Parts: sequence; structure tokens; C-alpha cells
Amino acid sequence: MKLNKDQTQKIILSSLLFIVVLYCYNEYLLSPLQTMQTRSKASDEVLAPKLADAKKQIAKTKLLEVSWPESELIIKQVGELVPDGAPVAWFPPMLADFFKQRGIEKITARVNKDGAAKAMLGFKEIGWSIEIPAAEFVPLAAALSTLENEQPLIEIQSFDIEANREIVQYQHFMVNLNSLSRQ
Amino acid sequence: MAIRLNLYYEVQKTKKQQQYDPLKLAMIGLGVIILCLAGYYFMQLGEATGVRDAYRNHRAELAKLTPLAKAAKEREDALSKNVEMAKQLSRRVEDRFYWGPVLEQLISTIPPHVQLLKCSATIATALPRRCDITLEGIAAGDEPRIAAEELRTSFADLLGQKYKKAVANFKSLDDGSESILLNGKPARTAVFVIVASFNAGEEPPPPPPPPKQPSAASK
Repeated sequence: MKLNKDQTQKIILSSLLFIVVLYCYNEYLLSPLQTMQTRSKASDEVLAPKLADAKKQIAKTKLLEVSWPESELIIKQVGELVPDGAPVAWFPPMLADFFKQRGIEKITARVNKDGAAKAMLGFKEIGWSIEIPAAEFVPLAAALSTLENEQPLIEIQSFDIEANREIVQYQHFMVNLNSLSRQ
Repeated sequence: MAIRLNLYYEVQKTKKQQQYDPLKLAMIGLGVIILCLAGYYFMQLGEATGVRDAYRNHRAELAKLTPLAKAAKEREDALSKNVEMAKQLSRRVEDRFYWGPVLEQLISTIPPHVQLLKCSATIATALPRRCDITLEGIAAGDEPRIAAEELRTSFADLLGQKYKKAVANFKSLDDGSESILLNGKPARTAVFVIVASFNAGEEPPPPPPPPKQPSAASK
């Protein structure tokens, strides 16, 4: 088919029109859309870890909330084991009563260390030196064992047992123990 | 043969020319392409709107969660202190060392011809909670040194059954200067000092390996 001049002009015109339409479509419609999409994606990617962190933090705290009553109960139970008042007022008489019930009459208890307990807010660790001038070994060992079992806040750190020079069947005891007390 | 004349030739030619007008055909083609482009545009628009909506939703969610997360962090700090304290208290109570069994073992191991003059014991607070016991005494009999050795070995054996790394060694074992009456007969004596030790707790966890230093070659 041979095109005449008029037809050729029309084809050129149509081609120009097509190019203009394509340019406008790309420049004013598609490009802004893609720019918006890219920006939204980039911003969303920045947001995603923050969102995940926030959710993780909330979940972590919820999990902690579940175990918290158990911890509170332990703290309360330990607190209830400590009598009110200054330890120096109630601890030596308590020990004296304890040993008296087991036939050991004379004991002396003195504070040798008094400091805040590590990572235990509201509690302090008190070191005591207990001196028992004369007691038989077996009853005293049994008494110490009972003391350890009955008083969960007491821990014996060291002891010295020496034969009593005056009364052969008796020994002289020095016991260092730590007890937990409220601040 | 009959001759056929087409008297509508010009009309048909004009009609055909109109039918195949390049401008018209181009316009139709352009229309189709524009429709396709419009379809693609709307498809892209839907996708972009979806992404933008997701971003806006996430932003709104973050704005809502940020104060909650901040409050949760503060709450966590407060709760963590309590939980940690409860753990420490539990550990303080449950990980205590009980001297009762050690004293019981000591009583059961002392042979009849041995008398303890002094016993000292101490336990470390740090892991592995090393416990040291010193026994000073006097052994009597025909073979007082053997009696002292019996005490050392039986005490070490009993400790070893219950505790880790239990050892008992003589710090000193000397002949006594005095002889005593044992069952009405004079008997020789030996004076001894036994030092026993064991671990009452677990070994502390090994320290983390140091970070690798870049080698000189790589510089």
C-alpha cells in the first residue's frame, strides 16, 4: 500500500501524539506513584524493627507479670521470717532460748559484721560471733544441725571447737554465722 | 464472455480509503494502548496505596504502642528488681551449706584411741564454696600413727562420698612426748593436724572467651 502525503502526515502526527502521551503517562502518573511506593516501603522498613521491639517489650513485661506474684510471695515469706525490731535486741535472746531448750545454758552472741545484703533491697546481712564456753560435742552438733534446719535465714560460716582444759568432757565453741534481717 | 462494469468504483475506493485511514487506525491503536496503560496505572495505584496504607497503619500502631512499651519498660525494670531479689533470697536460703552432716561424719569416723583437741572449719561464700576443715588431735595405742591415718582416710572417704574434690592430708604427724595409760597399760601417742577440704557448691561457669584480636598480617 502506497501512502500519500496526507496519510504520511497523519502517521507522523499520530506517532508524535503517542510519544507525548507516553511521556506524560510516565512523568506525571507512573513516576510519582512509584516514588510514593518506594518511600512508603523504605519508611515501613524503618518502622518495622521499632514496632517489633515495642511488641517484644510489652510481651516480655507481660511474661514477667506472670512470674511476679511468685517473687512477691517469696519476698513476703522471707520478710515474715524476720521478727520486728533491731536484730541485736531479738537475735541473741532467740539463740539463748534455742540452746537452753537443748541443755546448753551459757552462750554469748555479738555482732561482728553488719552490711546491706547484695542485690537484696530492704534486707541486710548480719554476722554474729557466738561463743559457747562449755558444751558437750554431740548435743551441740545436734543443736547446730537443728538450728540450720529450723532457721532458714541463718548460715554458719565457720566454727572453732577446742577441748576444754578444765572440764574434760566439755568443749569450747566459737561459731560465726550470718543471718538475714530487714533494714 | 460478458463484460462486467463496476460503476461504484470511485465510491468503493473512497470508502476503502476511509476505512484504512492511518490516523483513524493510529487513534484506535492509541486508544487500546491508553486503555492498557490506564489498567497498569490502576494496578500500580492499588499496590502503592496498599503499601502506603500498611505504612500508615504501622505508624499509627507504633504511635499507640510507644507509650505502652515505655511504660512496660519501666514496669519491667521494677519487676526485674523484685524477681532478681526473690531469686537471690531463694538462692540464699536454698544454697546454704549444712554443717550437720559434716559433724555427723566427723563423729562417726573418730576411732576409739583418737581424741580431737581442736576442730576448725570455714566455708567460702564464693563459688565453688570451698570448705576447709582442720582437725588437731592426739592418737594413742601401740601404733598411734596408724590410728591417725585411719582417721584421715576414713574422713576423706566419707567426705568424698558426698562432696566434690574432697581431700584430707596431714599437715603434721609427730610422735607425742608423753605416754598415756590406755586400758591400764602405758601407750605411745602421736600428735597430728589433718587439713581436709572439699567443694560444697558447683564450679563457677568459665569466663567468656576474649574477643579475637585482628592479626598483624591482616593489618
